[in-house]
Amino acid sequence: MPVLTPSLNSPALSPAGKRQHASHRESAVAPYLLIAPFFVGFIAFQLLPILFSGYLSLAEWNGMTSIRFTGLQNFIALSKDPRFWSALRVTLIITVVCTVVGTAGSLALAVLLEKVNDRLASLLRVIFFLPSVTSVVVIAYIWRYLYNTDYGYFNVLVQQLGLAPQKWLQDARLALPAIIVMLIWAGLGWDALIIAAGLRSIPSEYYDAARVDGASGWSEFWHITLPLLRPTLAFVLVTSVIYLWGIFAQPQLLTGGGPLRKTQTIAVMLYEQGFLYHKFGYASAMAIILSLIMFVSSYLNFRFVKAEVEY
Amino acid sequence: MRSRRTFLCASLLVAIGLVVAACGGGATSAPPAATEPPAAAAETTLQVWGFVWTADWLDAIKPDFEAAHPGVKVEVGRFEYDPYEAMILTTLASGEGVPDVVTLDPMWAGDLIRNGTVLPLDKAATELSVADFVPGGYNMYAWKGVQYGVPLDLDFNVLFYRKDVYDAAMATLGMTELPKNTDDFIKLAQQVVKETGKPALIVDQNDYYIWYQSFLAPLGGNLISDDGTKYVFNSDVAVQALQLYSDLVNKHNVAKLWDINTDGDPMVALSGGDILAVMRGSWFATELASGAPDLAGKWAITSLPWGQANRPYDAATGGACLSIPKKAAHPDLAWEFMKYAESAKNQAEYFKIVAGVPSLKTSWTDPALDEVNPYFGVPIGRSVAEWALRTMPMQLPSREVGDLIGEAIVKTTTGLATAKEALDAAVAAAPPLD
Repeated sequence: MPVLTPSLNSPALSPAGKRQHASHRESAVAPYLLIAPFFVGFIAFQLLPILFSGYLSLAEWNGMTSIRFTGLQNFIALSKDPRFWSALRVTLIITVVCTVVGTAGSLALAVLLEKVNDRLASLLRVIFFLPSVTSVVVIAYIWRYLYNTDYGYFNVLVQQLGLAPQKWLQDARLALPAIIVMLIWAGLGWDALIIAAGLRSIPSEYYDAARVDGASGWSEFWHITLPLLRPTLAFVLVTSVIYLWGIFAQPQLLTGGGPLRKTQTIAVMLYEQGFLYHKFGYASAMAIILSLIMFVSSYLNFRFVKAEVEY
Repeated sequence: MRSRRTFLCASLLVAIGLVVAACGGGATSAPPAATEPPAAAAETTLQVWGFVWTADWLDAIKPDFEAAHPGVKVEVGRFEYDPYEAMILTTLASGEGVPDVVTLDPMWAGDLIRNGTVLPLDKAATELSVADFVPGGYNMYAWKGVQYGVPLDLDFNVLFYRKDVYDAAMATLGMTELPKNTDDFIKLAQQVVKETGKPALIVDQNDYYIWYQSFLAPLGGNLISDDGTKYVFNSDVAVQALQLYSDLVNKHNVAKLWDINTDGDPMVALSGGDILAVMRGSWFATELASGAPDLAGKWAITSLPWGQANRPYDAATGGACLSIPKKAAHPDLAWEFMKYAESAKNQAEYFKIVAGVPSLKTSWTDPALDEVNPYFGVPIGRSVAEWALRTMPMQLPSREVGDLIGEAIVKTTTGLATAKEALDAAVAAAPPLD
């Protein structure tokens, strides 16, 4: 016999039953109400702007006059724009170098943190993690002073080595490497912390067994640590790639994208086209392409690292 | 338990409602910093926007306008300079809360004018005494023969220099006054370098504004043809102007390239005595006095020396203006306010508050222009007013064109291209003129 849920006003429902039914309905609604603020904010501040940006990428709009639909013209223009390809190249270089070198450096740092005594490890953790909790603007301004041609500390060191002072941020050959060095330094601590947590999750029995079998330290690292660290490394690589593809603040603050666009990333160019040149449609098209690039990069990262681990 | 759950649900509903209400506010109704509490029941409210000291001036002059126009209340919106452009653009884009009168800055006014966001001032020619304005200031806000703004002040580059250092070098060379032509000034600058071991002046890297105002204009060049149909900043004169800019650094070795993006504010080096001359607008006098108070009496101002001695102009002039947005609610009343603001009395008041020399010559009779500036020891208002008569109107390119010229400057000064190659490339890449 099917069990029917009586309606609230059904004479078949006793007062206790009615209270239970109302209570059940409230408890079914309550979770949605609890998560509703997030979705309201997400829809208002992220989803709708993304959809509007998608529409703008197919239009021409300067923020002052009406929006004019132009189809794929923005994407076609981008494909022919040497400034866009330059920005793409700059962003790719930053992403690849900072990800590879930064992750390797963070891994080395994390391993070091596990090897040294606790007190020294705590001190190193604080020192290397400080940039992660410091404002990007503050970091950029400090490094701008360090790189200053006349007063910068790096040129003081260079001159003490008997070399001529360098125009770190004004020389087209040096500006991009200068920014990359800063980005690697700033990201070391955060990634090292995550990798260190991953290292601690590796059961020590594997190392014990390896030692019993006569494995060297390098052998342990290559055959035990790295494979079991894959999920953590995948996370670090993916988050780094997403972050670096969208890098904006550091090049904008240090060099403004110069000299001669040698440090202009896609995000910096996007800002320039949209907010300085009033080409919101063109900038939106760049945003769409950047999003696709980030998606593809993240997917390739996952496939490359193969996050599944067999114990 | 049930009442607690009910209370929680009700609270969440209220919170969501508040978030939605905040997001769906819509109109940017009033500017963020109205300077007075709302008056009771005025018939018409005239919204007037200004940035920093311009807003202070608007506040100072509005009472008399209100007294002369019963039922009208003037509400002044005051903004900081940096976010002001974005505020204007977003307000015009939204169409909500558009002011009746706006102050525009030449750095970005060109885009607004060419995109038709401000009204043509058809009555300007008949209801203003145009001849009373400095031509350089007035014509700047015309586009293809149509006037879109009425100028407030004149902002053109002058040379701020260390009088003690340059006087010593002049004495060595037997010069009795600061040279007013390129060749003689370079000789003097070389002597300054010889005596101090420091660059005689700085030139701004990647800055089209300084190059255009200070070098291109006095040499007789311009950015756009008179009919507004093509770019001319790769003309022979422009190439010469850019070559001179580069030669000061690389050939004559008298100037240091200063990149504001990487070197920051030059005030630190200036107050430390490492910068001996700089080209800036007359507004820099106030910054210099506050940034380097210990050097009071050691700095002087003069008109720029670039070009031949008999040149017609010393610089191109910028300066803010008043305009009426296309979507202004009260355009006729806005025009009345603008005429009132441009009276000699109110323009003299502008000088007292903003310290910018007004574009209206009839306001120059005010004794405030003859007051001695304590930092410089001379009445700089009167001096700047006289130099203003030797300025040509600055054209208002788009920011994109400004950046392209900036790149041409970088390429030339760093030896990556000749001046001709760099400017030709900039013209080729420039967006089409409307």
